[in-house]
Amino acid sequence: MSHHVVITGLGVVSPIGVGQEAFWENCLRGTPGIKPVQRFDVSSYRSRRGAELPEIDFKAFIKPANLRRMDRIGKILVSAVRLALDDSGLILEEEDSSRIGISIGTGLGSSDTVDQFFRSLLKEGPTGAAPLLFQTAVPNAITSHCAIEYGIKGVNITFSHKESSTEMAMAFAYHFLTEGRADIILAGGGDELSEPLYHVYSMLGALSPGKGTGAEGMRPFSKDRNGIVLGEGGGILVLERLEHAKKRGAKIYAEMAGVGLSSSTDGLLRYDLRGDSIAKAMTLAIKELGMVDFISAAANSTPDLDRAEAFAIKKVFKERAKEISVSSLKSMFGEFDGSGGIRACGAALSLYYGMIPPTIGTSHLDPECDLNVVLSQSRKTEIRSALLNSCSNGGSNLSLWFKAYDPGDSPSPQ
Amino acid sequence: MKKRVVITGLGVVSAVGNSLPEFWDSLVRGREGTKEITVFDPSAYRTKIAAEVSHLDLEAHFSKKEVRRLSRCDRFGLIAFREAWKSAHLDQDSCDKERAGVILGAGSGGILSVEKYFRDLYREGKKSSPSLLISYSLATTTDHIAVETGLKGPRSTTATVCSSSSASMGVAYEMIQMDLADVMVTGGSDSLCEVSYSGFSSLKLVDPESCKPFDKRRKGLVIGEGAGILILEELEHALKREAPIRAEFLGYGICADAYHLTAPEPNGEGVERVIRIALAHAGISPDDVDTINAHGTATPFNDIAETRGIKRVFGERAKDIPISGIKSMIGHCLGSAGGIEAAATIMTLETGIIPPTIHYEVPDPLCDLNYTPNQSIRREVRIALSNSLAFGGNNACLVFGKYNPNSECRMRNAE
Repeated sequence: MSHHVVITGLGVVSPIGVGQEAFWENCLRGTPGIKPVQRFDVSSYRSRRGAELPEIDFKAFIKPANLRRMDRIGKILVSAVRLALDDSGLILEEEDSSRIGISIGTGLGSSDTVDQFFRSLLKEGPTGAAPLLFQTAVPNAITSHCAIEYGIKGVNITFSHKESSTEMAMAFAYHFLTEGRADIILAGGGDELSEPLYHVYSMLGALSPGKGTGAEGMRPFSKDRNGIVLGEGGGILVLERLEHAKKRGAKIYAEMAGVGLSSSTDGLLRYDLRGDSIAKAMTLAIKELGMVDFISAAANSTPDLDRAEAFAIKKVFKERAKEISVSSLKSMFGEFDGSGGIRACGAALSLYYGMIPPTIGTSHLDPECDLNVVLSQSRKTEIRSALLNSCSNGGSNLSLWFKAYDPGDSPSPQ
Repeated sequence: MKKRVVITGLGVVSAVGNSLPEFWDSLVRGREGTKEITVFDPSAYRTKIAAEVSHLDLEAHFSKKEVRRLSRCDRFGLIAFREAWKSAHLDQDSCDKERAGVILGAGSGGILSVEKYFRDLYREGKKSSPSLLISYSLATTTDHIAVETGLKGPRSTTATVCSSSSASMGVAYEMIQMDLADVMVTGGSDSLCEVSYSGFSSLKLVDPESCKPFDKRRKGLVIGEGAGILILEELEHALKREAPIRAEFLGYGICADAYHLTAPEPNGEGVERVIRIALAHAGISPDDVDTINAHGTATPFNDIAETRGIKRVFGERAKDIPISGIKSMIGHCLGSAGGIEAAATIMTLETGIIPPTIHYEVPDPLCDLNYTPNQSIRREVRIALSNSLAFGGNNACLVFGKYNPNSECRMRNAE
């Protein structure tokens, strides 16, 4: 018996808006979230820009007693969960908490807390190590915070695999729900832009250089793309079994209808260079090729990935590729391992409203990336189904398939 | 119809042995791997011991160039993986590599390399090789294994600390159920590092002397390290290539205590739930469980909660189920604990030997079950559980069974 899975709530904490309404309004306007980094000193790096979150009063989302025990990434993600729960209209007290789960992806989790902990260790020795810092520093502290804050007792899992972290979390949640082993899973994740993380990415040569000039930026599919700009934030979907959602009269944004996983082995830090694995992931996710109208691209302004993804899209869709709108929302809020949660919220909103946000920052398409990219202005178009692609450097590729929800044609589970 | 999933390969690196046979031999004999730490300077720490991997002949496994670019965690993972892959005969048999994936559990990953980089930077303002920073991501060991072997199926990494590599096995199992793979490399790898060691010390969860699960004198963990890698395979695929079938992966459970960031729910309610979910998923009755490989960290609280949870599931019968606390010998291997302990559980099914909980001298009235004290025992074992109850109440339970070609698939969906 395969259950249908729908999206009934969205929680977004992003550089271009906190809460899905503010986020979506800015998406449609093509609001740039990338600016000079403010929270720490980047003057010694070749890159100076990032998409940072605005100042957030987390007390609006989290009880003060719990807030004290959380680090910044914990606050970001638990807030995203709170927003998603509020958006879904779920009354937790009326639910069986053992049938509610949480599945989170984060590439680098509490990178800042770990760094602080390590610095205190270096400075003061083992006697200076702060236990409260450590217990927050583990990657699954975030799911534990959420589980404790909301009494979520069902399946509880954390993934950490670079850019495919949150998509894997959503794929796992999806499968679990299709089997009826939970009623609701909060799925998604995020990452924060911390100083040590910025240092690491800079040293590994991943960042678009430019010392803060216009040369430095996110330009997915663009001819002169030259690296990523880091962002931060968290995005959570409330994934729910359709029968359960209908029973409580939930608002349904879209259906999550398929997942595809594949990987490439071109090298330790290499994306899928040709794009065959990305193509495979898409093919595995989709049940009806002709129904795809929008692809939320993984393209992140790197020479390799954008080209490979373009190749993959053309390989899978052939002549139809020109009809499919493609956009990379990373152009607005940067690239970070945990961006998929926010991107998935964006995809759900696209399906719900029939609107696709633009790939800002890109004006001239690379001839090798000759796709139907939504540039400069949002596009209004019917979207029957959409793909969300995710590709890690190292080669883990996922594709999530979402369908527009039509209450008229939803069959009972077979 | 659910696919049946079996284990066709095993590989282990641990403080008590750098291969599966060495490891198992040590467990059977009750030999422990606790020693003074050499991986970093322990002199400033209150406790100076760990279950550290030693006598590893790196040159036998890696070229000098390879060693330089592999973190300690990568090395353990690759060695154990190669042993597992070979033991499954996958080095000789062909398999469709597009349907062979890797899902590993990670703890701190290659953080030891990252510590070196940042120690040089913060202490001396010196910029060491950025290649040390490749280990910043927990995906690195997973990627090394996949890239080395050309595995193009599903790939990811779980990060739930103490239950990471048990959770990874559940996810790997699902990849096969989703028909995305026939072969999945799973389990996990983890290494000692100052952050984890000092972290657990700061929480006063470590024992300065030895790990004494369920013993009244217990004071906590001895941190360990290593890798436990399993090859999960869809049954028909395994039979077709006449693979060695070590055991069957019958099912698993994952759930949350939702109680506290570090302490377990004291009444064992979370433990009870995860065991029940696992048994229901596997289609197994509590009456059929022959042995339990416990989480048994020897912290004052875990052992009580775990004991209570086991009693809640098994009732009166609990006293008749031999329980193994092998962390008494191998330490708490954090991200690799689930994988290493699963390997031990499978060896128990294969050999009919249940390894002991060593250092057991003073019984605790609150922990009054049969913990297989000090000596291994022989028992006919058909169904075995392995518990991993992580920090923050992230619980996992795996159900393994002796492979029986005649039994039908017992899976049913929980609804």
